[in-house]
Amino acid sequence: MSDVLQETVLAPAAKLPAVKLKVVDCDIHPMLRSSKALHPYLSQRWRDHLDSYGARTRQPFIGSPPYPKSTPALSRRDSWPPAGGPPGSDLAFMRAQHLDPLNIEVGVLQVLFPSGKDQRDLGLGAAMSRALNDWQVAEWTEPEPRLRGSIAVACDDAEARSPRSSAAPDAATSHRCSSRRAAPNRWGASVTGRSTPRRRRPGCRSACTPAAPTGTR
Amino acid sequence: MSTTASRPIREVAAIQPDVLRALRPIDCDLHPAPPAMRQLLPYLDTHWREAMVTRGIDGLDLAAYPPGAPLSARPDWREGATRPAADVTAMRAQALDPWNTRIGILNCLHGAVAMYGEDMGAALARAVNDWLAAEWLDREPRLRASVTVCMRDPVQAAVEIERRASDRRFVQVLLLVSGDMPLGRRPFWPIYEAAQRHGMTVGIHAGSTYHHAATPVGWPSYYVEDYVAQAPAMQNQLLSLIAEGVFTKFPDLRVVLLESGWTWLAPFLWRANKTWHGLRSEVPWVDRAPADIVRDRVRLSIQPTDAPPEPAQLARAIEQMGADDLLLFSTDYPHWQFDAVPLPPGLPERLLPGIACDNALGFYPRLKEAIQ
Repeated sequence: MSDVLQETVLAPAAKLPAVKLKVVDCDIHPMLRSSKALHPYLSQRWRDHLDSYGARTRQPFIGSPPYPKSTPALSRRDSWPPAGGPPGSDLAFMRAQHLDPLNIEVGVLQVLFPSGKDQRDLGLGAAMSRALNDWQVAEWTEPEPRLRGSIAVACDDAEARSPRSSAAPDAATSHRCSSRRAAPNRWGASVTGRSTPRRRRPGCRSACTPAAPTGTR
Repeated sequence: MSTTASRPIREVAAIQPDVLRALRPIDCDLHPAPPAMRQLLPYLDTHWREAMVTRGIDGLDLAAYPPGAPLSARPDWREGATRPAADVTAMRAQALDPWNTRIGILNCLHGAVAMYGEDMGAALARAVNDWLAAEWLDREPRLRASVTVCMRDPVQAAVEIERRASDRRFVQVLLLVSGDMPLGRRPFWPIYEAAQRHGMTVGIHAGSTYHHAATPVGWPSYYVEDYVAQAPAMQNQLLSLIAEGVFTKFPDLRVVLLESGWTWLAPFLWRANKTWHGLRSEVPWVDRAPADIVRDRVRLSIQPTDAPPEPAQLARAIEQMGADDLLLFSTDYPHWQFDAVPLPPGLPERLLPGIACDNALGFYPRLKEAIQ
């Protein structure tokens, strides 16, 4: 977490105008409260791995995207929860600032960071994807029935991205399989040649999200 | 099985610490902990300071050295520290004083070197260099530094070299071995012109910006692959400098390979020479054998030493390199490259004064003047 940004955070608006239409928000980004917040959903083996080698993607920096964004945490300046943590990490604040006042009937979650699908270590990518899915269920979709999760999959790992192998939430809570738009290398999405899961759960849609830059090769 | 092979390797012909201390070495590769953004803010101008704060830009530590990886810091250098090598006090106690080091050269591996945005990268590099001068060089007279530059923009990098030229404590320009393109290519020549003109060496250090895959065959999965790949990357860059005629165009330019592993050098020179003999009609500006160019214009820091299994073989490896003055003492502090003594066992005793300090004094123009 950066400590250079505190003075740029704005206080949330006290009152919002009433919204009468019911709204489906297709893109809400939950965020881990801290770098260790995923650890409860990882085995000791992968906790130790993250503590030693960290998450390793195809980017120059450990704690920043390769092209720094225009706002802290790429977020609205009024979205920092009063109780602490980064934007998107506090369900109560998400309800108060976003779900309730905007009359959100359904909100679909998309976990941007951390990303299992961008990990160079496929084992870590699969473990992080499973953990992120478990985290979405435990801390978001179960306590808040308006929210739906997106299944994080490790795109480059043919075995791990199968819905059978991921600890995917059940059909009632899962709406979307999340994959990467850009291939990690010029020869295609994976060594098996497949770029989509074999089978999706009922009601699941595939979604592609912008990937981190993967170099020019 | 020989009796030599049955003994623990490091007990054979180990260098005694007092021998090294008596030589008062010059450490050519020290790594201050790269500054966090809040540490750089005072050294940024108004525009960039406001940009960093309002955009929340931070976390620019290079992925080339995961902080928790065993290689990144020796365990005893992590103890009690928020970050290894965080300040001059720690470096004095852990790297300079133990070896009676007379001069240490700082190579700050800050993310500025890998920025895609040229102007931001140049601004950060400038701030890093100002920070190095104020927080390190001003506080410890034994220290010198490499000029941090953003490799993406060699023209602005040359401006930064010009800016540092009058501060004789900046002795070298720092580049990462794996960046955007081969280092011999002409877009980089403004850096070499400026370095040569101001008597600075060019230091090529292990590490990747990860703008491209870390190997010529694509993106490997594991850190061990990335790190081992830095040695062949050094070969690629050395040959690029040779083949592109950098050493011909800049006849006084000197290059130091830092944290390269170095024992790959001899077979690389054999291959480079052999191939150049057959294909040199394509590169007529390469006016002598690659090995001759390297022995004249290139030096290599000693940590890590990718040592052969038997210490007695190390002397042979050096002999095969064809020159006695190629190696420069370094600790690579705080990276974990040695446990007891920062010189590998098996070094011929007659080479020790050269390795410890004479080779560096003879090669870095700005070091020689400091001693004089």
